Amino acid sequence: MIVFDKLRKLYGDFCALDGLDCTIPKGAMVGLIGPNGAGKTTSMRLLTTLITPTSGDVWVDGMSVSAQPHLVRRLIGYMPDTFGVYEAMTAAEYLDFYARCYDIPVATRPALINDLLGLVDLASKRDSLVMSLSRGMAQRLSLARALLHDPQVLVLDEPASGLDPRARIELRALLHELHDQGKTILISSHILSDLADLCTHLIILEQGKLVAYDTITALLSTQQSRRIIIQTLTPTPALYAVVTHFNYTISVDPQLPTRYIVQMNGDDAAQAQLLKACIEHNIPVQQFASEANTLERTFLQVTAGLN
Amino acid sequence: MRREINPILIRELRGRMRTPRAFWLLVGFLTAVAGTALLVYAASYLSSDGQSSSNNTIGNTVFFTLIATAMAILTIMAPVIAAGSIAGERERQTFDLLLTSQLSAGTIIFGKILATLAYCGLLLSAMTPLIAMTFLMGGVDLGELFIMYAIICASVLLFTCCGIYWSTRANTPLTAIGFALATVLGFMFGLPLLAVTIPTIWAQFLNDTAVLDAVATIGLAAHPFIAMYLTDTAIRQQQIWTHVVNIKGFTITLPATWIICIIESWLISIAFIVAAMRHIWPMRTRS
Repeated sequence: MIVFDKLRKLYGDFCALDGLDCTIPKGAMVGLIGPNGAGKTTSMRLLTTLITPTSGDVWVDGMSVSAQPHLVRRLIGYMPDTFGVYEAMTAAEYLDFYARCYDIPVATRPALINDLLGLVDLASKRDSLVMSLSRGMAQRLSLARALLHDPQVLVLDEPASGLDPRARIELRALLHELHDQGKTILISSHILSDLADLCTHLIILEQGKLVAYDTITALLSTQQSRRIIIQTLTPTPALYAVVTHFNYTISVDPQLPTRYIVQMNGDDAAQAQLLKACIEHNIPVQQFASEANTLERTFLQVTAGLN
Repeated sequence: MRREINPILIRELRGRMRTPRAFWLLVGFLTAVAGTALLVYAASYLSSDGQSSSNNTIGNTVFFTLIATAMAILTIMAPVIAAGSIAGERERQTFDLLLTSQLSAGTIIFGKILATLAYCGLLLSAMTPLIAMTFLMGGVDLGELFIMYAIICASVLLFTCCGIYWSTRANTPLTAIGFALATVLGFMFGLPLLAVTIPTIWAQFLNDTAVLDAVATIGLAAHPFIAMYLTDTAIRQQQIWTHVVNIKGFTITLPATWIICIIESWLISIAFIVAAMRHIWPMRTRS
C-alpha cells in the first residue's frame, strides 16, 4: 500500500531522513516512533506531499508522491499534531469548508458531515464554535476532517498528545474502529504503550535512519534481554550461585529481601533452564515470573547505539 | 455539475464578517472619509463668494477629497488585510491542511485576493451616499466618477496582490504586513520622488524633455494619486480617452493616463500573482 523507496530528505547540510526503505501492507496500523529529530514528521510530510524528497520516492497505492501528488492527496487523510483553528466557525461549518476543499458534491455533504460528527461522537456539538471545543473534542473533529473524502490511508501525527486519559481511550477506540474498516493507518506518537495496544507494525527511526521495522509481535519476541523476578520463601543466598552459573546478573529487591531480580540474555528455553536449575538446587521458589517485554524496552534497546 | 464558489472566498468572508473588527473597520473608514470631506467642505464654503459657480468648485473639491481619502485608507488597508491572509493560515497552522486538500495554488491565491477585494468593495460601496451628495452640489459627472472608481479598483487590486505575494513569503502576518507596507509605501513615495529628481538630472544633459515627459507620463500613471490628478486635468481639457505628446515635431497619441494606470496595475498585479503561486507551487502540481 505504502512504499518508502530509499527516501532521503536534506535541509541544507542536515540530513533529516536518510534512505528510508520499507513497505507498509494494506490495512496495517503502523506506529512511527523515534526520539525527537529522528525524522518522523519529515516522513509524514513527505508522504502527505507537503514537501518533496531530495531523492527516492514514496508510493501510495502505486502512485508517486513526487510525480502524482494530486492523486496521492485523494488517498490520504492527514491529521497534524496541532489543531488549526478558524475564528467564528461552527464544527459543522468547519467540516463543510474542508468538504468543499475536497470537491465533495454539495448534495452528499450535509449527510456526510452528520455521519462523521456521529462517528467521532460530536453530533451534539454540531453548532458549537470550533474555538470552544476541548482539546479532545478538537482532536476528534480533526480526525473527522481527515476522513471527509474517505481516504484509504490515514496519517496521524501525535494524535493523542495533550489529551486527558478519557479522551485518549476514546481516540484509541475510534482508531480501532477505523482499522477494522480496513484503513491503513500511520501514526506517530511518544506514548509507546498506546502504540503497543493499537498498532500491528512498528517503524523505529533514529537520526533519520530506519533502525527497525516489523510487526509488533516479531519485534517483541526478538528482544533478547529480559528481567526475571524470583521470589523465595526465605532469603536464599544459594540462588546467587545458580544464577551466576548462567552468567546472568542478580540483585535483591531492597524493599523485599526474598525477592530477586535476574537480568538475563536468552529466549524462552533459557528461561526454562534457569527455573529447572533452581528446582534442582532446592531453591524454595514461591514465584518465578518473566517481566513482560514492553515496547519501551524494545525501543530503548534498538535505539541505544546511535544517540 | 454546478461549479461552486471558491471555498477560500466563502470561508474568508464568513470569518471576517462575523467578527466585530469588520464592523468597526467600516465605521472607522466612513468616519475618516466623511470627516475629512466635511472639513474640506466647511473650508471651501467659508472661502467661497456665494456664486453658483463656486458650488461646482466646492462639489468638485469635496468629491476629490472623498476619493483621495478613500484611496489613501485603502492603500494601507488592502495590503494589510491581504498580507495577513496566507501568513495567518501558517500562524494558525491551517495552511498544511489546505495544501493537502484538492485545492490548487490558483484557487487558494484567488480566493484570498477576492476576499480582500470584496471587503474593500464593501467599504467603497458604503461610501456611495457620500459621493452622491457631491452630485447635488455639481461639478462632477458620472463619467468622472466611474473613471476615479476604476483607478481605485485597479490600485486596490495591485496593493492586494502585493500583500498576497508577501503573505506567501513570510511565516508570520506581522512580517508579511511589514514587507507589504514597505513595498506599497515605497512605491507611493518613491515614484513621485523619481518624477522630481530624474527630469532635473535629465535637463543637465538634454534640452528637449519631450521624450522624458512621455516616459514619465507612462511610468507615473501607475501611481493612483498622480493618475487621478492627471485624469482630472485631462477631463477639464476634454481629453478623456487619449493623451497627446509632441516629440521633436511628431505628435504621438497615447491612451489616457487612467487607462495606462489600469493596464499597468493589472500587469504588475499579474506579476505578483504568478510570483505568489510559484512560491507555493512545488507541492501544488496537478497530474
